[in-house]
Amino acid sequence: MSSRSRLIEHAKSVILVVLFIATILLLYLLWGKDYLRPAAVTVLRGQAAEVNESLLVVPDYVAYGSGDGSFSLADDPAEAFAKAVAQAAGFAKLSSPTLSQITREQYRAAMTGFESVQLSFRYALPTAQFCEYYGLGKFTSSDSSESFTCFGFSEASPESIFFKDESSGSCYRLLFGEAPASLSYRFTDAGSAQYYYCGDILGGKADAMIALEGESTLQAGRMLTELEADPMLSTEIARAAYGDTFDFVRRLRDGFGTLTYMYGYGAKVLTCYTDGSFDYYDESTGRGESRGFFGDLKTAADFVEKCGGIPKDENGGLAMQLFGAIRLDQGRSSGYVFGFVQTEDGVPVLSDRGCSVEVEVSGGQVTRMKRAVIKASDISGDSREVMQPANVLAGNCNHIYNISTNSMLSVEPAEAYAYVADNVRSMRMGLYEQEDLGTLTPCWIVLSPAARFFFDLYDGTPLGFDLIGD
Amino acid sequence: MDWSKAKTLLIVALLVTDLVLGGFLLHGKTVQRQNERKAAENIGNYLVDLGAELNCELADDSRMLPVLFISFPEGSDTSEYSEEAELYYNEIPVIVSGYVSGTPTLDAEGASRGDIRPSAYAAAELAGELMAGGRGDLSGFSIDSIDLVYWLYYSGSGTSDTAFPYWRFNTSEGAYFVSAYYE
Repeated sequence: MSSRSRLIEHAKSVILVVLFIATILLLYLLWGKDYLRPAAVTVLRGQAAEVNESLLVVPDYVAYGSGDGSFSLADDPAEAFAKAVAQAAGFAKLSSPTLSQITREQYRAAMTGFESVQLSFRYALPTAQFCEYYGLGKFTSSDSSESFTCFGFSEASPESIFFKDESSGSCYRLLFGEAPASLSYRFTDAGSAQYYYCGDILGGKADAMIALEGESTLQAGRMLTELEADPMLSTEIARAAYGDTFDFVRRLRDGFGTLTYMYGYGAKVLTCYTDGSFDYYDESTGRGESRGFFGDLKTAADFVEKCGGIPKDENGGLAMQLFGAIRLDQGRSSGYVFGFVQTEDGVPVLSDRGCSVEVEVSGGQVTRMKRAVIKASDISGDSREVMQPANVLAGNCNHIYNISTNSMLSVEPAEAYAYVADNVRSMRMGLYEQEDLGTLTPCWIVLSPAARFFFDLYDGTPLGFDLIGD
Repeated sequence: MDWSKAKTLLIVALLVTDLVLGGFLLHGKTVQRQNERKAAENIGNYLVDLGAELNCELADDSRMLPVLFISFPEGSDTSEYSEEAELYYNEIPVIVSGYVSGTPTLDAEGASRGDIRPSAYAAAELAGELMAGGRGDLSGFSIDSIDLVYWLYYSGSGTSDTAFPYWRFNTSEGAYFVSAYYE
């Protein structure tokens, strides 16, 4: 090949490369705006992890009844719940159930007088949706029953699943033709402590499950807000909340240091407070149909994971539980307000301002989120005896009565005591967040119809309360 | 295989492809320009039909612009109302309205840039807003000049805020600011 031909070949190669690059550039210019950008956004959104919402639905407790009025509580309520659901699904394979109303006394007798399992939730679950979601089938109803806070099995009627709704006081059962052969009333390990109905110990009607005595390794620990732990969190949450419009969002900081992101004349606002809490509001959404309890829960959980993340434990499991759910019915839009609580060492972390994360899902979309998550340290120590639950309640009955009834007038101790013995709905160990001090204090969390109270776990002194209404 | 011949064929094929793509691109841009010019003309006629006087051309700007983050001196006296530009970004005036004293400073610019819409679209929006205010027509109303600015209303408290690109319409009734970003 002559040197001239070689030169031509070189020139051809160069022209080929230049033309190829020009083709790519022209294609980008032609399609780039309309096609490439949305594609990139889709990829970014796809990276947000999806949350298995069923992992957030964990019972407050799973109580194994021994038939003599005493109960032992499952060490791992989440595991016990999974096994209870599998057992309930075994019923559904046998026949279609019918729903029938029973009295509160019948429910209680079935749980206390016979071997039983009882799963109690802190919120009401819609019965029909629960049965459908967990594969328990559809049922024919003879009584109107919409939701429940407790469900269980009892040797008193092995062919039934029992339900109780704490807020309305109604009880009912799903009656199947027969009981599954593998029916069991204890399916996980349980602690040795004996629990009783609070009313049975104090002489009232309260259904809270309390132990006579107990021990705990919880100790006063330290806390940091997640903003103190990660100063870039505000930007990350805003970027996640606003997506591809983030770079065109108004950002303003007031004299107190509060940072506000605003889009569309205040239609979509994220406020980042200096105390580490976040408040997100979006009035542009929420006009569609609700996706039901579990659909809306999934929407809420995915949004929390996307905007700041769901706290995780050291094994990568979710360190957050559903703690409350209120049904919304606002004209054409309906949905739920979900309250999530952070857990540390398996116990909930709460403060006077309520749940760690609160999400409002209206019309199938997130319209509001409040978030105040913390990082805890040094909360475990040596095992110590806690103050006896009955003594905590008896010693603080006036305080509970006054706050719950919104009456600051002095009251006869007997009246206050009777109120507590009839109305305490739950009493569980937890951690109380004192943000101004930066500390976490081990506490008893006592729930009455009107308020959530926090008492020191070891000496029973009142630490605070959070009004919740009914 | 005759590699030299293959290269020649590829060059011809790519050349034709590039010419076609370039043609599409040019055609698209031309059509877009024509449409925008026509829209501007229609909007101008619409404003005149409503009784407004148009003493300037409806301006256009094909730049892409970011938002600007502005910071304010802390603890300053905020008693003075200002609407004068004290800052400039790429020769575009940055106007801070409101009760400002001290000198605001340009902190940073947004990471992405957004398309600027023709001022005719903003003018149509302005006319719509004025009509929605209850007036039957725009008689007596004149637009004397239109320019692209950054604008932000400062409430007198806070340490930082965000300025967005706006079309400023200097009219017989004072200055109106209408967002220059596509909605």
